[in-house]
Amino acid sequence: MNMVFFILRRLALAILVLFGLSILIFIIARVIPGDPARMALGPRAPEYAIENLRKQMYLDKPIYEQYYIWVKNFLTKGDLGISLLTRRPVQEDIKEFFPATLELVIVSGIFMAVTGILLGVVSARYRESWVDSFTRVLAYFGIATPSFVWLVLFILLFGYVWPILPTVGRLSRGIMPPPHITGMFTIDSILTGNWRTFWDALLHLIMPAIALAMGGLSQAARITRSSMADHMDKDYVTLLRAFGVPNRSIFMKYLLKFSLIPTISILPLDIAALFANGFIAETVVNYPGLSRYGMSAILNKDLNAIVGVIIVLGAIYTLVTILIDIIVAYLDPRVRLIRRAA
Amino acid sequence: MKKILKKCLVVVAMVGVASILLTSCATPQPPPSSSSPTPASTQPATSFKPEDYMVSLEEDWPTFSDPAVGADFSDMIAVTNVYDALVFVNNDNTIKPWLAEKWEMSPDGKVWTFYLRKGVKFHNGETLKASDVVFTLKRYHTIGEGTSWLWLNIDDAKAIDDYTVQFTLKKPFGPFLYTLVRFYVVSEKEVMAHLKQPGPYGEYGDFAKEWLLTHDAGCGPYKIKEVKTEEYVLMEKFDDWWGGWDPNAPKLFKLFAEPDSSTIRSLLASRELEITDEWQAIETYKAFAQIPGVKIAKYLVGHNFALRFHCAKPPTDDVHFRRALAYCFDYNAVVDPEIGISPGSALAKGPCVSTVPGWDPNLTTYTYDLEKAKEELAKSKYADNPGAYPVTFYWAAEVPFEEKVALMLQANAAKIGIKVEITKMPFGNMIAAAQSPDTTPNIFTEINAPYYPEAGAQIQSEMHSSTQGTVNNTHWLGTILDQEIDDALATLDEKERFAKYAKLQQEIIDLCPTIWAFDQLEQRAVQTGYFYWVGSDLNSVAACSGYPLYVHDMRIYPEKKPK
Repeated sequence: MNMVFFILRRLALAILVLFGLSILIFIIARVIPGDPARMALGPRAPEYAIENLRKQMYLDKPIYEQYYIWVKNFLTKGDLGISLLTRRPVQEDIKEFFPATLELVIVSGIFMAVTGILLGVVSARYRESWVDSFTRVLAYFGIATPSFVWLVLFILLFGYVWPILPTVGRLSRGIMPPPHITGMFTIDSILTGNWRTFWDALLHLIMPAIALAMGGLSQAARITRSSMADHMDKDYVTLLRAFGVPNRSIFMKYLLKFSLIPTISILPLDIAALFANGFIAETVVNYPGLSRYGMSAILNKDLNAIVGVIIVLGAIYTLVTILIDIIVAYLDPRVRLIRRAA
Repeated sequence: MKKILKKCLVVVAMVGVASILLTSCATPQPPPSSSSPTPASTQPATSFKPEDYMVSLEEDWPTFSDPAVGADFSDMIAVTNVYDALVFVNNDNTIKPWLAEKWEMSPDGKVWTFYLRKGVKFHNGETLKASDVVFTLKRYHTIGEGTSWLWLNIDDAKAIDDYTVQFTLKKPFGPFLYTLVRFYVVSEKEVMAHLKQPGPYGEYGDFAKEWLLTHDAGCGPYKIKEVKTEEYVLMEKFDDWWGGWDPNAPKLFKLFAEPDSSTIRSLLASRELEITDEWQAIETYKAFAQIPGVKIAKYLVGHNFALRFHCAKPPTDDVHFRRALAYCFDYNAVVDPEIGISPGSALAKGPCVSTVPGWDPNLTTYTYDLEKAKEELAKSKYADNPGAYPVTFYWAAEVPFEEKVALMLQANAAKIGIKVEITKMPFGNMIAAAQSPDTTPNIFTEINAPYYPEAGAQIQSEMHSSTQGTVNNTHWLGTILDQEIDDALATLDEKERFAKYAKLQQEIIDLCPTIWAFDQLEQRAVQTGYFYWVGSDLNSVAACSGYPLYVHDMRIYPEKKPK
């Protein structure tokens, strides 16, 4: 019951946070210098066309009235306004681009979590050996090198020198997208039994997903290693060794569970950050995702799109934060006990 | 361990379910059409698929293929290939009949009568009629976006009969015929069938603007097959096009954007890209040229690269100060074929590009001469302490060579004591900065492309007060040349008009509102082994964006494509 109350309270707070965020971003988007209507219609558009667009976007009204109309349309019709960049309703753009980014983030996140934790465990298991040193150096590189550098490197290696991976978009020439179910090509092609499309879509994800994951996985490896190394010096581990419990069992059965808690607290946030940080990778490989759309919106002063994308990203962060709390409480009973005591 | 695995599985399953639920909220869309284009009547006897006859051109995004909306480079490429205009511009910038087979002008230049080609079919199967031309003008006037402003001077249009249309102008306009290369005709029936109500245009709803984002209503050689927002526009050949087809003309044409040069390089190497964009760095083109079967096409395209002065903001409000900076610019070094910033580009002479009709070759302009720069600076009101008046300089982040130009001018200006402060800025922000004299910098870079292939286009867009506050005109000079420009544009006799242009061009040069850096030699990496595009063999092409990349005239030979 306490947990239910906790979740409900967090959700209520999340709504407040999103409401505040919407006000903030709504104002910021509108105080950036430049007339968005003029920018959208081109340098030679006549004044009547500019005025027409301003009216359509309610830019002729005071900002508080604009916000009121925006909130009303959003809450009553799910309408986020028209994007100046694509000339379509923003919610349609988000529906189209969000699944592409989600697919990329899921693949990247899985790779980040599995590889990062694995490297951390191996590094801790062989602490102070060459394996540990190698993994740590690798992790330093991973953290220090921006994802787009990795991506450009991968493109040159696997798209040009040894061309085994596609470098652009979501599907190759001549491959038809699967019927729309979730918007994620890999999942939709599995659901419709279209294995050729699945394989092609997966190949298109490999380079951007790995490049995006490099920073997070390196961080996860370092945190896992450090946490595990801390636990290895604890009395209970010494006791287990004294009882003759094999090292493998100590690692997998006792150490891993406790050592993973800090990693699990960080990883989902790293994964959620990919939604926003993915714009460079999406731009480099011409991947039609939400982060690239958001970046274009900012550069082109696409007011409604900026607000729409930020609200979606804000919602993702807020949900992920709540999810982390639930997962940590689920994995570590002590957290639940502390909450109950509180 | 099993427990942990089980818990992890539960977590993964939760994430999976959540993600499917989130994305399932999207409105299901039908799968894209898989219909292939109808084979051409004279298809070569091979087993190649339509995709093998696809030409991919990497340019820019967004691409608006609605002629009443689009005006940017990629828009014009799409529009020119999907819609036919009343007249067509050749690569030597001469005009030839197109949808209009012939025309007449009244003695006062206000009434123009066009006789339309018979038997032209729109992509929906309808036949082109004069009423479609009248409707197109109404749509341009009502929407007012893109290149619509070109025809604000048309007071009335009427269909005399099915194949004769008459335009009445508010006032005579000498280059009127040249502007019609942009008059892309839409099918009235198709547009009216796709109006969305309610919309901002009264009884016309949205004038089918939403529908035309992903479809077309044209009669050009290609029709829209698929538009993936933020990705590409895919066009397929229109078999019933009135001009006929060569068996090796491209069957599909894909227009897309790819900003990363390493990705472009891999696409060229894998023969998935036939023509690149024109915005890459020189070093990048050199790298592209290393790929076997890829050559760098170089041609003058009617763009001039300009450093525009804010003529109402200190210190560039002083004509002598502006001239001092103009004499600081090393014109020859910039276009040097070996070490230049834009190697092979032509030296610019004034506000008009040397390839457009109406440009005067006898103009006296500025050269790199630091002594003259010092003399001019000495005459300026800022001569005592020029360093106290830093010159702000914005360059477009999307065009890498502009930074080198900025640095060169900064270094040369420093030699005579002028301080130049450089700012890199996304072009979108530059558009915003151009809108007000307060936010316009002292120097604003711009690649000026004429909207129609005639000198009047560039003179008007750069100097007329009606364009003030746009990226074409950041001078804030007011109306000082308006009367003279209007008079020249209203002159019907071409010889007389060009003489007036020549006088204007020299006056503008003397006023020094701009450093005209060079007439840009456009470069694109092009496949040559299995693909032919006439632009790759020419020194100059039509000074009218879109037309040089007329896909119907390209050729593709899939049997020659390297495996």
